[in-house]
Amino acid sequence: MDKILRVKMGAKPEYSVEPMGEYAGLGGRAFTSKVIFSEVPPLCHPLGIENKLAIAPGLMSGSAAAISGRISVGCKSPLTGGIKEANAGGQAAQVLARIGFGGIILEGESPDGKLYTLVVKKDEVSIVPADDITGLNNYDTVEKLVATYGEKCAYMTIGTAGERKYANSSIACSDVELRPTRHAGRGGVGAVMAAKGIKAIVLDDAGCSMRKPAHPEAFKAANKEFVEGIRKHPVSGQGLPAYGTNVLTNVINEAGGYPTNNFNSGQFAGAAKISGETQAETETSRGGRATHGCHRGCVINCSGTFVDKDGNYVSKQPEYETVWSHGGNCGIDDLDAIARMDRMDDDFGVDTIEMGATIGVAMEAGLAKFGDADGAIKLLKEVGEGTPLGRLLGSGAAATAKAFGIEKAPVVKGQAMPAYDPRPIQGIGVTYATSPQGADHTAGYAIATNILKVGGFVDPLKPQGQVELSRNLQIATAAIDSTGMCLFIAFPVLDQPETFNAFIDVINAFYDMKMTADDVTALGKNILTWEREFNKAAGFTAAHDRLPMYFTREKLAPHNATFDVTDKELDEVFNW
Amino acid sequence: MRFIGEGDWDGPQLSAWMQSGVHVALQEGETVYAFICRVLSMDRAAVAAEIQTLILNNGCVDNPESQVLGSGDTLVLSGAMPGLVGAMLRSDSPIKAMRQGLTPGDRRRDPDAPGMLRLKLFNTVLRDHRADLLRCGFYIDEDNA
Repeated sequence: MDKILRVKMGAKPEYSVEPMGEYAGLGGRAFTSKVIFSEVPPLCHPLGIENKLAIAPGLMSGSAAAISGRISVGCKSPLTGGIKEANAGGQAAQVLARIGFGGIILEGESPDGKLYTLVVKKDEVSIVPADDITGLNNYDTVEKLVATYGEKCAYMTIGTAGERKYANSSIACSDVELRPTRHAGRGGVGAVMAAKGIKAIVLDDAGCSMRKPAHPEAFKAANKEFVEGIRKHPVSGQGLPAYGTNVLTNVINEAGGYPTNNFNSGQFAGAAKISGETQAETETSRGGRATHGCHRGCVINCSGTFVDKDGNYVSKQPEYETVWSHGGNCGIDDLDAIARMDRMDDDFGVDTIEMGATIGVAMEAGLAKFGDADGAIKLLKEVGEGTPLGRLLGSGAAATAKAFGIEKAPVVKGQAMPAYDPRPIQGIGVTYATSPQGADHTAGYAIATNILKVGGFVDPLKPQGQVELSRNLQIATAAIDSTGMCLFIAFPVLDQPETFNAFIDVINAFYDMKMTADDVTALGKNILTWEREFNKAAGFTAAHDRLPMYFTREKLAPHNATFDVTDKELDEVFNW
Repeated sequence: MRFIGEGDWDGPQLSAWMQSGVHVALQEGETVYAFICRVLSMDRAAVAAEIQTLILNNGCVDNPESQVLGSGDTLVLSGAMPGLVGAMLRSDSPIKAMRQGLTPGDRRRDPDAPGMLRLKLFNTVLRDHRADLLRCGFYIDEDNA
């Protein structure tokens, strides 16, 4: 991972291979955000020639380090107008890292609107016309690519949503079974890839070997302890493998924080029908799988395979956020309908959170009734067909609300909120409001920070604790996003000091470093500073670090809560 | 209401009942912790290891050893949850400041089930302790029978 592949699209597509230079030592989100901050004019149009798409495996990707298969994609976002980092699982990070690239930067624009396939091999890069796959959705695209390039490659593709440059278009990464089920979903990164003229990226690591650590024995020992820590923890070793992320549905619903019918209530009567418990039972009884890894080297296996009543593959196991967005948020309690929409989202290439939130807004506007699964599927079909209504829906929840005169668009910086209502759970609202990414539940995910005093210890009993906690969580998350590690490692790291030590030892042994908690904090702060500076130059102010005002006015049952963190408190999140 | 005990039922229906809530008899002045130990045949170490998320009347329970239960309460028992919010919801979570408003609400009196609470088991607790709850015995609404 000591080189960058820079692809310049234009009348004659060309590329160069460069040393990492000023980006040396940066992986994942650190790499993508630094590139966008340094090289993209903040006032450019997201689909213009000046924008760039940066792709980077994490620092540990391509090695034997457990759960190191996250890949980051960054650009100026068509959805938010600010900086964007979206990351995904699947095989792409591991393969790209083994080929030796620390990042790919796509720049320029599509020549005559034509699309190309970028093929990256050990000692060879080619950019070939993608006429044979243009106009296809993700499943057909990957099937054709596999027929041409083989089953040992990893594939990053866009569907027709990306080709049409929807602001809610994603980039799909193929999973272990070569299905396009793992998406860099948020912010419209697929549209930017299309604007650069790239339909697909083929990553072929034939002839490459696993990345070698600087200190093999120390690395092996640390990695073993890290894996043991993950496996023995109740979240990463039991709850997630057994039920997937959808294990959250019952509990969040019971706590009254489950956004229902476009955030009009905090509880959904049909939650038990779409819970992780019910989903796992349904999958296994039909011959599907409730436990499955999204990339090789994962030891949590929080994914699964959803099959229909006849045992035919429908989609990967829908995640909690997807089950919520297409389920409770739209009043739908039918797992089969939800899985079908998950498949459609993956195939067209759209972010499931934004898509479900958009359908919720459309239901609020009267385009379908809450609870009408057939109506929701019909709206989604319009997105896939590219009808005028479909193109509007593909532009996201904020655009749809504006078009239909609806105030209740649950968005921050133009990006839809995920599956936790910020009124009863105020701390998540602080992160939604202030993250440079727009409303994002993963922005403050790395819960280890406070316990380990990364970023400064905060007394959780202080009234303002949630502001300081959000700050520290965002710092630590930004740092972990640069490693390529899945954020689910945060749980064993939170509860088991020996697992945290093993995590640090894995990185230090691999790179011959002596990283400390202060170094992690500094990296996280740097990433957030680049992102906020970019947004500021793009026109963002403190006024953008706010939830929609109706969240401070309209009470949410059953707690009858409103969001009451003050503007002054929100403005203190990034005071460091 | 209909009584369900050991040997009466098993299978998916049992899971659905326990997720949606079954009525279990309370003892006078019983705390959350004492109730769990009695009904699910658990000791202190097992409760700490297996039941990290406790929700009473839609609010988080941070002090199960002193929180007293009453007739008409709804109690949820769950393993540790993933995600930032999942971490917040854990009993006595170090980041509980982020869910300050999520305190147990007023119990809802249930005239059909005096002296009982509605108990819901989720995820690993449901998987690992359904037999214990069957052994203890519980009631379901006739509508669900």
